[in-house]
Amino acid sequence: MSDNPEVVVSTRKKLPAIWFVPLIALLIGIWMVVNHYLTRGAEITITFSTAEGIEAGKTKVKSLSVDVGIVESVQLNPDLKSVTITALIEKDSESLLRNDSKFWVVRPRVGAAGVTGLGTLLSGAYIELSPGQGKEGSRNFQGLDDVPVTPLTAAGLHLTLLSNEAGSVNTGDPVLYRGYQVGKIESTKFVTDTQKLHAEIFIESPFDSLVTSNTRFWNTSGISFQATAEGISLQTGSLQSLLIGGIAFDVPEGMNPGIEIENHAQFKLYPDASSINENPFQYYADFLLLFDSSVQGLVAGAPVLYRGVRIGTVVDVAFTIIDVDLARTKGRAPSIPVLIRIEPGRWLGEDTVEAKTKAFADIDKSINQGMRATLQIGNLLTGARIVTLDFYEDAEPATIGQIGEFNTLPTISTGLEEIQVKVANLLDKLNELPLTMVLNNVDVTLKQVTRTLDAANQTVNDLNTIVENKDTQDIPESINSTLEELRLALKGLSPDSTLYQDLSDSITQLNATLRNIEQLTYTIDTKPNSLIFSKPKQQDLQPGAAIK
Amino acid sequence: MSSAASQGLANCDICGKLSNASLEHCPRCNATLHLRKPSSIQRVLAYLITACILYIPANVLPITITNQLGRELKSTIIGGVIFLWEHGSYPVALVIFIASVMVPVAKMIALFYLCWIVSHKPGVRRIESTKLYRITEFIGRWSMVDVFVVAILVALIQIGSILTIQPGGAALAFAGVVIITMFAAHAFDPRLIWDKAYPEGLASE
Repeated sequence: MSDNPEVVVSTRKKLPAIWFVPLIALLIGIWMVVNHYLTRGAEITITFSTAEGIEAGKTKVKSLSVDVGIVESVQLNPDLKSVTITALIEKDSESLLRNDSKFWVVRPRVGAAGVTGLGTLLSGAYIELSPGQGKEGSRNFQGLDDVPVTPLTAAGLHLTLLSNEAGSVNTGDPVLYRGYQVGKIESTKFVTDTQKLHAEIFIESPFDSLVTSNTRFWNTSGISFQATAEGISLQTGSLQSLLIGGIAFDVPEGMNPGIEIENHAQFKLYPDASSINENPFQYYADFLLLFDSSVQGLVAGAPVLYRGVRIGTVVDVAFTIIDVDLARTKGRAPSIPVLIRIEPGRWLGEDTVEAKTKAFADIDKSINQGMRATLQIGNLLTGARIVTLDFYEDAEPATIGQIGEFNTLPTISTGLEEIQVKVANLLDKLNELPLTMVLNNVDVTLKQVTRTLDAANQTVNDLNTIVENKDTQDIPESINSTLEELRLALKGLSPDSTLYQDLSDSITQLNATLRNIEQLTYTIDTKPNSLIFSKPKQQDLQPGAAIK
Repeated sequence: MSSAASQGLANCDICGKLSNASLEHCPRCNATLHLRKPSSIQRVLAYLITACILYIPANVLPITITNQLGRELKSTIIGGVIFLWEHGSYPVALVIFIASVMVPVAKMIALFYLCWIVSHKPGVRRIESTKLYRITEFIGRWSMVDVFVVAILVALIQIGSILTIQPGGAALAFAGVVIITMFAAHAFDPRLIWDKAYPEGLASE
């Protein structure tokens, strides 16, 4: 031991080892914080229309029933119409967060298509995450209100059908091709702007190749009952579609299938199978026609023809189509607006947007070259009218016009219309004729005729008086006696009488004499010297055959 | 009045024999002799800082994780107190609040105050400081009530998937806070409070 131990103690200025304790605690704390943030994962926000069954800190986010995260907070959005859910997705599940990943809340659901989400009755609702195929790194998502009927990763075709009626089109209903289920209705939504039902459907692969640009979809639900002159027809779909509805599709008869279509294409949903053949075109161009003459007999549904070939349909005939004042294009009387639908599929063979554009350009060009729309009698018996398009030599070049929201085509009056006009003109001319004067002249003439006839009558009366005279009545008797005398006189000249015989002989001799004189005259005429020289001796005449 | 230190006498920490500090080792039990606990203030401060660090996870992390029918419920100390208070269990809420929140915080504040007063204001409020130290050392162990409750709950309630309780990270941290503050209280040498009254005795300190 040293002599001065206190000095040794006081000079030991090193930091006591006890400071390692807080240092270690601090290091552990720092490590915990760092570790927490490193393994924290991704914080995402999902917007839902309702937070029903979702609880902050409790509701799980699952993917294929595997926990991948937890809901951290549920907040009402400022618009009070939706909720924003903040969820924490685990670090090793961050790759599931892609820009097309879908989220929906799994709750117990009972529907016609089955019962789902029973497992959540006890455990509570959870948020299902369905990873997409897109780019990673998205953090804000829009949650789906309905559970997708088909897995989002399933191969196939997603389509949108537009319909005016929602009849029996429900989520989960089957989509049938010739009675075989090839897909499902994923969701339905009624859009108030267009007043149409939007039905999202999914066609499973490999049946997606059956859907082409000319495919038509119709509602197969329920029973179709028709009583016609040909009998009674009853049509139903499959038992499933009979009970819960469904959609069928096919290519209309006599139509080529068309080209392939892209995902999320839009189609019209027809109310029944027969209507796809009646009005099979989904791309068309509407035109407004203004007619100055009567359109009596023209009804919606009447055909629009080009030289007898149907190219479209009359949609509506009414003043309600446009404002009446807009129809006063010629003078005071408003023209009659007629809305027609030109369907390019009828003559271009394909029912696509491109065909519509091409048809529009064709019509514009044709109008410039003198094509006009006219009204014609379609049926002489019923007086039903049709709209026809044709070229007219004397038509001025024109273009497609615009009235209100409609494109217009120029119209012209021909055929019966023209005849009517001509008849009217003729009547006008007739009206202009000086008929009164003529009739006055006729009247005067008739009076003169009457006077003449009166005179004639007088003469006849006079004649009658003469005839009724006794002397006059004796005339026939006198004539009769005269004729008797004449007969007796002629009797002396009859062939039996001698006078007649003598006279006949005399005439015969006279004839012979005249013949000789004629011969003499001829001889002198040909040979004047025959008076002096005798006639040379002529050869005997031979038959024609002997000469040859 | 003079202290033992001022006369060069040191009390053996182990057997309590009073002997001359210059001996360095107790002649009876051969333990190292100190006039005062060596670097007492530094050790107290080190323990207190550790306790402060541990106090953060003790309040942030859940102290119990209740799994009821597949639904996991994590609760922190403050969360539990608020839960009990809102449900009308005021006495229980108060007990837990005092034992788990007030006492550890009060203990740490008291020790910091003692360290500060010994280092910077020697000889001031000696009586009060001594009383404060006694109270601190006495109540320190009662902070463990919360840890005991958790330990008992975890041991008792294990009913399969219907209801299970598991200790959270805060239980460990909170136990650490209580133990470390007890160490801190133990490391503090109350004789330092009085040393300044007899400055001559601290010449060798």
